[in-house]
Amino acid sequence: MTGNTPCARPARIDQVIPSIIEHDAVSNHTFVAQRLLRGLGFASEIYAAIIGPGCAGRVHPLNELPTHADGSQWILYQCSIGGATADVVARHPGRKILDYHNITPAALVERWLPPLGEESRLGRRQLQMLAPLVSYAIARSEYNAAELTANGFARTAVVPVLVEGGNLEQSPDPVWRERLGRARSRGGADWLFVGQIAPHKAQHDVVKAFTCYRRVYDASARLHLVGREMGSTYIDALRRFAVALGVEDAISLPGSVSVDALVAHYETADVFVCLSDHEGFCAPIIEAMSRGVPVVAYAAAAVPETVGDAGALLPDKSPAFVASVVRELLADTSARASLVAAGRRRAARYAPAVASAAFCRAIESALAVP
Amino acid sequence: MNEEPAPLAGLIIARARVDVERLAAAGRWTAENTAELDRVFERSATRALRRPRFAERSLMLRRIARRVVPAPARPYLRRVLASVEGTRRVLGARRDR
Repeated sequence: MTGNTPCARPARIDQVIPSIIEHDAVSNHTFVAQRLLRGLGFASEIYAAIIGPGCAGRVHPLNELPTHADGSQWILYQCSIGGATADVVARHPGRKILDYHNITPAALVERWLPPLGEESRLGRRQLQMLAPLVSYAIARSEYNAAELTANGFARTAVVPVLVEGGNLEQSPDPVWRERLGRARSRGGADWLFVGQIAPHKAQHDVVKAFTCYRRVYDASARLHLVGREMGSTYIDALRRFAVALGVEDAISLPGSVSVDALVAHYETADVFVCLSDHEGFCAPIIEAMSRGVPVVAYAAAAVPETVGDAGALLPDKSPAFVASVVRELLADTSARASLVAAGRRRAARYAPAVASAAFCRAIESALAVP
Repeated sequence: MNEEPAPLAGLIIARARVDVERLAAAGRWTAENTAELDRVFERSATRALRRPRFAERSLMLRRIARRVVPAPARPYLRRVLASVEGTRRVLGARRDR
């Protein structure tokens, strides 16, 4: 390959991911990417070091990754954590594209899960190691793209997270709808946050703000923290915290839920409150917007970029301030309607068809790299 | 991407700032209330972070107990351990029940 001639078009673009599980944004993104790659005419399989329940049969073990050194196989590496998978990618002879979902800073998780802190540090070192080996990188947000550039990646494109079209347009789960509706009929606002129960998502700060809200404004309010727990220690602390504050009956931690149960949660929520200290994109913010739930979010990492002008972006997250913003938002119907409308417009910018088109453009750009 | 907040969001935030000051002036929510929440969370975090060590110790004690404690005395020992460690797991209950 010489000069500016594009590389020969490969026959296959296989994806490699450290772990893949159900109801996970990065995993869902990978499955949609596979469909799009196949739609572009490539053979494409997914290889993972850890394959969660529900993904068996759709994903191959990493040690079965084929190695074609003749240029006919490219690798698309889904990067969100460090580990041995990155070394497998680095050693592979095929051209490499990196799809970057961001790596949670170790300082935010190592107190709770020391091994994860190590993996985060390793992931950032591996990012630098991969930079000269990767011909093209895709980032979830401008924030992520800036990190890639700072780590030495020469060519980047921003592609929003891929989701299955119509995923959240399905009907709400009737059991959840009835359960949530019954609680709602007793009065009080419903706060919602969706995301892994993890220290960097700072659900403890949401509990603090919610406790203030209940004590000062609305003693009947409820908080729904939907998401799978990352380890057992942080969720244990969260439960103990709720008990110590006497709000355990007002807080629901249903874990990871099905899509139709998630739809029921969005349908009954009055406000989506995100106080995360780190997000590479935060797809649930867009989900909330698309379902007409106003968003209140702490302006950290990629969150300002995701929220844009369609939510209340907070420069700090002191409990009284967050509680007061939620109170003002719910009390002012015209402001609420305005934010809901802005949210729907914002969500349209990240609609599955838009994101899919951006992904396909990025792949074509990667193919054009000499 | 530098996007200004929606004008109405800006207004909500400005009104919230005023309300926070009003709450503090009225003694309904002060810096001490916030500090108390922080202290309670730290206590909860400390206890949760100690729990894995308790669990390891509990496992070790049960292994020893199986060898040295006569079967009729084991329920009593389980109750003692449960009261010391405050964990249902000692009683044989699974976390997901």
